[in-house]
Amino acid sequence: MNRANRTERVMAAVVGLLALLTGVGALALHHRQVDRPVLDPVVLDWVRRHPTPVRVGLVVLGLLAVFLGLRWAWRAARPEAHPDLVVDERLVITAKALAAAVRSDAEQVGGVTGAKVWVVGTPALRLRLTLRRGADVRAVWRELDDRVLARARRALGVTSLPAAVRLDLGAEERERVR
Amino acid sequence: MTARVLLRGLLRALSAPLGLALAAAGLLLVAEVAWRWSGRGPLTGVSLAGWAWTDRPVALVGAGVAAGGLVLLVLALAARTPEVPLDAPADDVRVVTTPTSLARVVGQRVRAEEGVSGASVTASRSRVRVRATSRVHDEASLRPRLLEAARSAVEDLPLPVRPKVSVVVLSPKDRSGAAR
Repeated sequence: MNRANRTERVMAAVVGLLALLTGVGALALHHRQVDRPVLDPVVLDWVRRHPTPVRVGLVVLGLLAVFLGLRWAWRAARPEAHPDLVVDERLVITAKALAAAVRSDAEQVGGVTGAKVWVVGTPALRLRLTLRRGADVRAVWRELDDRVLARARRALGVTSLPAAVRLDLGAEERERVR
Repeated sequence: MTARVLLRGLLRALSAPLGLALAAAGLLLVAEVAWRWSGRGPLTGVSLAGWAWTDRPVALVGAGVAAGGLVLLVLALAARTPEVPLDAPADDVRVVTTPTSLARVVGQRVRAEEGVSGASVTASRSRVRVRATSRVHDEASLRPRLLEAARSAVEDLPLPVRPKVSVVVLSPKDRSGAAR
């Protein structure tokens, strides 16, 4: 599993769709030789009769654009956070230590040939497990929560440990050729 | 695989300037409205007054905006990592696998069947398609067995929605039979 990019995808899709519709609309009106001004007098007249709601609407729209735009840029530009876990003022579990501990637990599960673990929240995990060809996926799936994540939850003293897990199945074992 | 990584990177790289541009446009809009509201006249001087839909620049700008929008939309859709959801063992645990993994598991099971000389599998969260080749069996005799094997491979996975499985067998026996 990769770093989440939903904000980026949703924003790009929405902005792209709006731009596409606007552009196609303008082209269609041009193509049909609609001989009216872009600022249509009918619309303009309506705007003149309702100045306050229109102004408030435009300001709200502008502020929304500022908020969403900054959020979009920030989500894409910031490096992904791997926060350490502060248990109390004397005990801090570094993200690296936690990831390494969960990783070694995950690699103990039968059928798992490789594990990668990232700490992506306080606490939240992202796991990527590679399973051997022919591995019992259901058994791995059960042990994942019963053993690996349960152990992490117990060790951290939390009742809920959000985790996103990706299983890569049926990997061929690499043979070392001499 | 690598193309998707590239697209994800491109989307990320474009997101920062586009987001800032959107924020700047919003800020400008707020400033312009505030400026005019307070009776100080236009701030930016940008105006659509005087343009008609029949003007050529309007069409050109429209085409540019439409093309940019299309690119962005396609990029947004293509940068999605395809995943096949598996059952969640707990409320806050999300488990997924990839279509490639699903195809690999089914392919390994099908290829292990007697008489199969090769198989290609494509998979999505809703569908698994198997194309197997055989030199010794015809489709009628092999297909039920492979369907069974592919189905059992899928059933061994904790899938909340079982994908539809379809099997096609390509065999020279069928071809010679058809020619006769």
